[in-house]
Amino acid sequence: MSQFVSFVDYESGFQSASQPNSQSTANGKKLSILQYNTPFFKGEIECLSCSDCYFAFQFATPLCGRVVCTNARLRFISNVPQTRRLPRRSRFYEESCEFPLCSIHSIHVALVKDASRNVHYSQLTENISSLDVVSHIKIILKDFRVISIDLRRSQNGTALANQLLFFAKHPQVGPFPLTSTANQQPKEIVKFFTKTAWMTELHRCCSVGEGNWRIVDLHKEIIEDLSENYPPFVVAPSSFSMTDIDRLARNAKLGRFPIWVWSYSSGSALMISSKLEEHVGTPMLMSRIFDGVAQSHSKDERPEMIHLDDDFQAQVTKGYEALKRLCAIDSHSQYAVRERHWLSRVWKTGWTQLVTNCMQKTAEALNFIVDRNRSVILTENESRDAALVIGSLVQICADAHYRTVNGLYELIDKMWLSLGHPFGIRLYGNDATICPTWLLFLDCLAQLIRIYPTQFAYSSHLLLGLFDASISGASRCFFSAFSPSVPFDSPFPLDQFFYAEFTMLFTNMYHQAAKTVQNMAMIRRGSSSFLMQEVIRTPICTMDIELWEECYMRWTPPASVNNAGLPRESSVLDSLMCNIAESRRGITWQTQLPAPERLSSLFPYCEPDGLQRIMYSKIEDEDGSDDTVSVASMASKRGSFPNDNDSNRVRLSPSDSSASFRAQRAVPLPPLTNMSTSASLPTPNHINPSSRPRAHRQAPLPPPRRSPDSTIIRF
Amino acid sequence: MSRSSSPGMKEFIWQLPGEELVVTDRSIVYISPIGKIPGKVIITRYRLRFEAKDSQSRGNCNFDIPLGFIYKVEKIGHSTVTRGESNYGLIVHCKDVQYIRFAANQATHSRRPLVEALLKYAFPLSSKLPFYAVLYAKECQRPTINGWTIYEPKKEFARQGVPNELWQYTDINTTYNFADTYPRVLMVPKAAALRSNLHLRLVGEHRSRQRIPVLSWIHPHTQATITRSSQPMAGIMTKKSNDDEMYLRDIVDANANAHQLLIFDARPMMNAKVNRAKGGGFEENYDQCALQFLNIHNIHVVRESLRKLREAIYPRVDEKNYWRMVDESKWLNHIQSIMEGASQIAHDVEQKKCSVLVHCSDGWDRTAQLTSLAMLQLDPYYRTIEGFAVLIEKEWCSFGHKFSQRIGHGEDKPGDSERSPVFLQFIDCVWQIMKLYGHYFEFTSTLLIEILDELYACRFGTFLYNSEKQRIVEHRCHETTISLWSYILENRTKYLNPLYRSQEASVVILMTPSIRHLHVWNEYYGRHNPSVLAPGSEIAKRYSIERAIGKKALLNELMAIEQNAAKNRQPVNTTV
Repeated sequence: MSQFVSFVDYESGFQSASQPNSQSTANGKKLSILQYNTPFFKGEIECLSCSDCYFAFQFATPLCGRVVCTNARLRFISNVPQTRRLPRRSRFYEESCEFPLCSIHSIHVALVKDASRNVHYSQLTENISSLDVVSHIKIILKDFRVISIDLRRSQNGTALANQLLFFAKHPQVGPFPLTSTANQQPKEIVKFFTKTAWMTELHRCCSVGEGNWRIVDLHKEIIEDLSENYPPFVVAPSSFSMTDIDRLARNAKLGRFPIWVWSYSSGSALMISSKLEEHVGTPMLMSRIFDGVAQSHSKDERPEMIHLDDDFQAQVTKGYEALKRLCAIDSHSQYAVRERHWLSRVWKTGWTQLVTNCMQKTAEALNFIVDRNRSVILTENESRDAALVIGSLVQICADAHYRTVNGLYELIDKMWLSLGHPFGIRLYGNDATICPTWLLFLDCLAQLIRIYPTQFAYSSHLLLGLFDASISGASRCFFSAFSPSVPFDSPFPLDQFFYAEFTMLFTNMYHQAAKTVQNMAMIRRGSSSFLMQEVIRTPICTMDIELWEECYMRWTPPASVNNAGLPRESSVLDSLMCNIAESRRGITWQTQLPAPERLSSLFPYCEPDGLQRIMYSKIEDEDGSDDTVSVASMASKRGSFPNDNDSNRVRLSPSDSSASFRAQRAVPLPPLTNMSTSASLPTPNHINPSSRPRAHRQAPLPPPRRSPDSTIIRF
Repeated sequence: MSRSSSPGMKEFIWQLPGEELVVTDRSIVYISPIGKIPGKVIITRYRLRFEAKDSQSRGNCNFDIPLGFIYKVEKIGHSTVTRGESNYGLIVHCKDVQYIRFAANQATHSRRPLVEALLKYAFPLSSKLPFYAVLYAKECQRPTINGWTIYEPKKEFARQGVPNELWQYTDINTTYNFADTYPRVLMVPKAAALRSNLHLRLVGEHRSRQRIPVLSWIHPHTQATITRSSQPMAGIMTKKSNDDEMYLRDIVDANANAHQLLIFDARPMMNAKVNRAKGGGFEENYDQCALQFLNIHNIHVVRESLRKLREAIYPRVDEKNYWRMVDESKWLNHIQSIMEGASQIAHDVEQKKCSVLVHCSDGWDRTAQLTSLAMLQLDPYYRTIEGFAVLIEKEWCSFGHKFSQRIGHGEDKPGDSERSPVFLQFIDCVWQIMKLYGHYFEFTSTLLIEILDELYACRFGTFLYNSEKQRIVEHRCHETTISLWSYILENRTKYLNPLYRSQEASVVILMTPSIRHLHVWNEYYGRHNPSVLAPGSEIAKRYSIERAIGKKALLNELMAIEQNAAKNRQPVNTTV
């Protein structure tokens, strides 16, 4: 228990292994060699190592090397040094060759059973007997990356599978080095565990009627420790007496009685509450709540109670599972198959519907608070999921403070970390209970950023950073099932998890530009041009909702394009603002983003790969019903892994020469690839050769080219 | 109730030159998607205007619809039978997604003059009246920029570096006697032109409507070309034509970098085969040619697809089934197949340095889409405002895309099977490219929407009639009407994209249109929908968040700053 190292100590502990020169990687000219010497955490020990296995992230060429499994991470060390094209993000993990075990969503193994060479995967739910021989392992991470390990030449496959299962599924059994209880004084703790934070928040929100609310010290006022889900201090209407609160806490589920979380500038409050237990006294308690909240309103308006769906968690679990099936893919053939009826497939996940529902509920709440000047109480069965999503969204929409980076940190601190969202259960439960409400919230927020690009000081990269930090087990905040008695270290700012190459992407260039333009207009015309709004509205129409591809598809190279999309546009805007600032006084603008020659639309997650020019519209479904794609059918029937007698040949052509992959040529391999590595891509079995006309020309293979998605400077 | 003003008098601020008032109905109810709004309707020679009575909702509910938008006027209810006040009235169906429903006063028969005026002036061809474009041009001052001259074939070809030693003009069609759907000025391989006009006529005989393969675009460095034509008249017997084969070989020979001509037949192979029964067909066993079908569906499929898309979006979005309905409409799949084809052409021309020949059946719908999109990707000039105008004038107007039939300008034939949103599909594709590669375009999507609106509105002559011959020779549009490009170039600043970097933009865009990159163009298709968030939408106006949605407001401000800076810089330059 004394092993805890704060991140700062950790950081200073390995100066020597600091990040390789990232400037050159950003330019994509000089490639730096991947480093495998990211130090282990204190207390992290190597448990198992398998040499001579083939390891690949989704869509990548399998490489031969050694897999090392510790109690916190899985690391792959290639036999030959690998180069890096994209900047490194995480301070703790070298993302291109290792990942934390707690971010594993599910493990699938293929056993050597029969003589057939088919690789048949089945999900690993319990330990396998040491008599079985594991030949392949496929791991799906919670961020939809897919890792394949070919262990046919290794002895330790079974042990590795069991090891992975143990550490992935029981993170609470062996305390993770990073999450062990702290001995030393934490540097900064989660804010809203303190009274002052609530007081400041109350003061900030309530320009009128601050006296209508009071801070409740739960340790003092509730005899028994009923509200263990709440932080020690919460805010309630000042007309609630100690007995009121005690009674409400006893009758509300989990003791989560109605508390204040935020007030609009007009004085209407937003409150959250769990459901009251149904019994004879319930109506009386309800009227007590309504009266108390009404008294706290500046115009004594009765509050509006919005009930949220009880079914919410089950829907999120289902939606996430379906989303995983849709997006966690690792081969071009899977990508191509999903091209057909893509929108229907997205629709069938139900995830976009969930996003729409949240947006509509938020719009409803906003309508009451902003337009009708009524307080709103969001009630949910346990008020730990949907209420937090919608509560947070309401605040983000109606209060521009939360659209700044620090404001968002504060909001997450208040609504998610302090008010007891059970991250431990929702994110680290087994895959039947995994219920990333948190991801749904980030998704909704990303939709808002997409629709209102100028209104948010942060970009969706910050949201991705938040999600990645939360599933990497790097902070105890995102690991606990309940609010603890001892406050956690604050996970904010996120710089403690990520390098500056990534955190600088958190700035929203549109917002920066809009602010600068507004200031300029004020100087020029003496009036502001009102690019900024205090209140924005959530979309209520499903037509405005899109799948958050920047998150779910971000590890999928074929979904990316070079020099296009938001990253490039932001960097162009960046340079434009630079030019404008140069030509006039009083305006400062510093170039904030790297502008390499090639910038992938999914920077910094993946780059388009070489195998691209696929005529998607010609691809026929082999089985129209692959919505039930299991991992078993995910792997193509054969050849998904290097064939032993196939070595020394780098081949990317589908086995059927007339299949629809038009331009068949090798991926531009990193210059230092081990030539003993064979690389045959999955055979596109899904592609029906007959779908292609015979009249197709037998043109010679196209000459090597950089990437079909690239743009070529000609003049 | 109805009154007409003398021409030239301007009664309202919004009135355009030559826009006479025709009918005014003061007691009408507009049944909007969000409720009934009483007000008045004014029908002029150009538009249908609704003004709400209630001054509060005035700003939000007033709207104008140019009469050219009207696709069908439908009367609902019967004056003596129908009960209920909103069951009697009329529905105005529009060529873009929306329709407008009015409830009229049953007792006063006020519907009759309205409907009569609408039918008369919305369908001027059916009632033997001139297009509004003609009246507008008569009353309007001559524009400072003449849009009719923006596309001069010889100037445009000279920009591309032809004629040269391999390509030259032919005078075979100067009087439109050879191919009446083709432009006057045609660029053919020099070898073929030298052979005599008889040779070209023989090639013409083997091509549907004499639309022989002619040059659209030539690569400035590699001499790889994009040529376009109609289908060969192979027929059921797969007839061969030596002249046609010789002609194609001339095209191959004009490009030293490749020994093969890639022929892209835009149709699905089945359709091409079926066409043989009608005398058409495709190039089979041509020497040095490789044929590929691009699997793009015909105008009827596209029309049906848009109808389904519209159903999913208007009047209200089907919350539950929207995604499935959009998917089933296959609109995005059609967009994808076109973009894939165009990208393929661009790729072959740029990277493989091959010459390509593009055709479909007649070579004026899918061919125009493919060549213009490929050229847009290949040549940065077409991504400027002028260039885009030239592109449309060249590939669409001059090569005889049948705008009149496809849109149904001024005709009361709503069921006409010749109608199809082919041009809309092209603009949608441009928008899809722009969504990804916006900073390579000098203009923003505002220009695209403007073009689509003026396409239906018939205020300008650019999109009237079916071919260059009809437009210029028969109807003398360049004299009697004003070109859309005059208007667009005069208001140029409205469409400029501040993020455009002309020095960086000289690149070739080679994209892979995966369906993940394609989206429904909400800004256009969803703009009449009351609950869709878009600048200018009803909900945005209601909450006054128009300037917060999207980045348009920011980009406009940035453009204003740039323009100011440019203005301030000019005097400095002169002193230096």
